[in-house]
Amino acid sequence: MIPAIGLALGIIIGVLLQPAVPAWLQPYLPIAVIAALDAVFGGVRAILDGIFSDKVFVVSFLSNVVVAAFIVFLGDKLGVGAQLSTGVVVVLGVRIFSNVAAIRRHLFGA
Amino acid sequence: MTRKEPEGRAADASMTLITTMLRRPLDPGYAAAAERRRAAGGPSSTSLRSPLLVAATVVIGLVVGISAYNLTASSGPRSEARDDLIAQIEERRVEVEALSQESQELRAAVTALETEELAGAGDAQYSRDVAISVGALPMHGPGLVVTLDDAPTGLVDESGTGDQADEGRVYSRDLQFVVNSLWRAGAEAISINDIRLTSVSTIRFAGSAIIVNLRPLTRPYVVTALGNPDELPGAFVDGPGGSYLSTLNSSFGVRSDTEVVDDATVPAGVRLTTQYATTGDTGSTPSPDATSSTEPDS
Repeated sequence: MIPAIGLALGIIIGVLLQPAVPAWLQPYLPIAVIAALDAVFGGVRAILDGIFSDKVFVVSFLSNVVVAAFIVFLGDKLGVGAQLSTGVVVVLGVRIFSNVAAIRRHLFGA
Repeated sequence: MTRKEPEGRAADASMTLITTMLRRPLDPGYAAAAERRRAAGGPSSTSLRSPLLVAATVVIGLVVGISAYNLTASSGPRSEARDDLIAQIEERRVEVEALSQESQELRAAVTALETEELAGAGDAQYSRDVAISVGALPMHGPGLVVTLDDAPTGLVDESGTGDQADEGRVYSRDLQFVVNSLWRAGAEAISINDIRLTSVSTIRFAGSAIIVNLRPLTRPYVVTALGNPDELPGAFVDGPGGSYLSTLNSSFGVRSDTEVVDDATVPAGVRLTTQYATTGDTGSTPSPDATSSTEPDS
C-alpha cells in the first residue's frame, strides 16, 4: 500500500511541477519509463511470490535505468541509437509481459 | 518438429536466450536474497514499509510523471514555443496595422499642409497631380473590380494528383498580368485587397502566399482599378487581360469576376519614400539617359 502511495505521489509531483528536462536527456525518458515499469512489475511479482526484497528492488531499478540509458547513449554515438533503443524496449517488454502473466496467475489463478 | 534432433542437445538449444528470458523474467536476485534471509532464520520477504522502498517508488513515479508531461505533444515545451511564436506574429501584425494607419494619417496631414502652403501658386495643382500619380492620395471614383480566386477545391481534387491541384491556384504572375493589363487599359489607380499599387510596388510569390508590398494576401484577390468608365472596362475585357482570365478559367478552373462599379475607393500607398537614382560609374561614355534618371522619383 505504502509503495503504491509513493508511486502516485511521485506521478502527481512530476505532472504538477512540470520540471523542464534538458534536451540532451529527452531521448532517455521513454527508456527510463520502460525500465521503471519493468522494476515495478518485477517487484509486484516478488511480493506475490513472497520473496520481495527492498534492496533488490532499488538496485534492479537503478541498474535497469543506468544500463538502458548507457546502451542508448552508446547506440547514439555509434549511429545505431534507434535500433538499440528498440532492443532495450523488446527485452524489457518481454520481461514486463512475463511478470504481468505471473501476477495474473497469482491474482486470478488463471 | 519431425526432424530428429542431434543427441545431447535440447530441442530448443538454439533459442536459449529467448527461453531464459521467458522462463525466468524475474531477477534471480529476489530468489537469492530470499534464500539468504531464510538461511539466516528470518522471513523470506522484507517489509514493504522500508524508507528505501518508499523513496524508490517516489522516484519511479517522478520519472513516469515527468515523462508523461514532456513526451505529450500537446503539453510539451515545443508546443509552448509554437504558441509563443504565433502570439508574436499576431502582436507584430497588429503593430504593423497601427503603424500603417499612422503613416497614412501623417501622409494625409502632410498633403493637407502642402496644399495649404502652395495655395494660390501654380505649384499646388502640380503637387496634386504628382501625388495622384505616385499614389500618395486615396482616390475614389468609377472603376472596375476584378476578383480572382483559386479553383474550387472539389473540382481540383477530382482531377487527381497534387501537381494538378496547384494549377488551380492564383499565382503572382496572374495578378501581375491582370494589373499590367489594367494599367494598359487606362487605369489611373489600382489596389489589390486594399493595398495601393504605386510605381515601386511589387507582386511576388513567397511559399504559397502572394506578397504585395511585402504584405501577404489571402484569397480572394480583389483588384480595384479606377479609370474612365466609358473606356476602361471595354479596353480591359477586349484586351489581353480579358482573354488571359478566360484562359485561366477554362484551363485551370481559376475563378474570376469582372464588375463595373460607379464609386470604388482606393487607399493611399503606405510605403512611399523619396528615392534618388545615381548613375553608375560608366567610365568615359556617359549614357544620354543618365541625366534624366538622376531626377527625384516623386
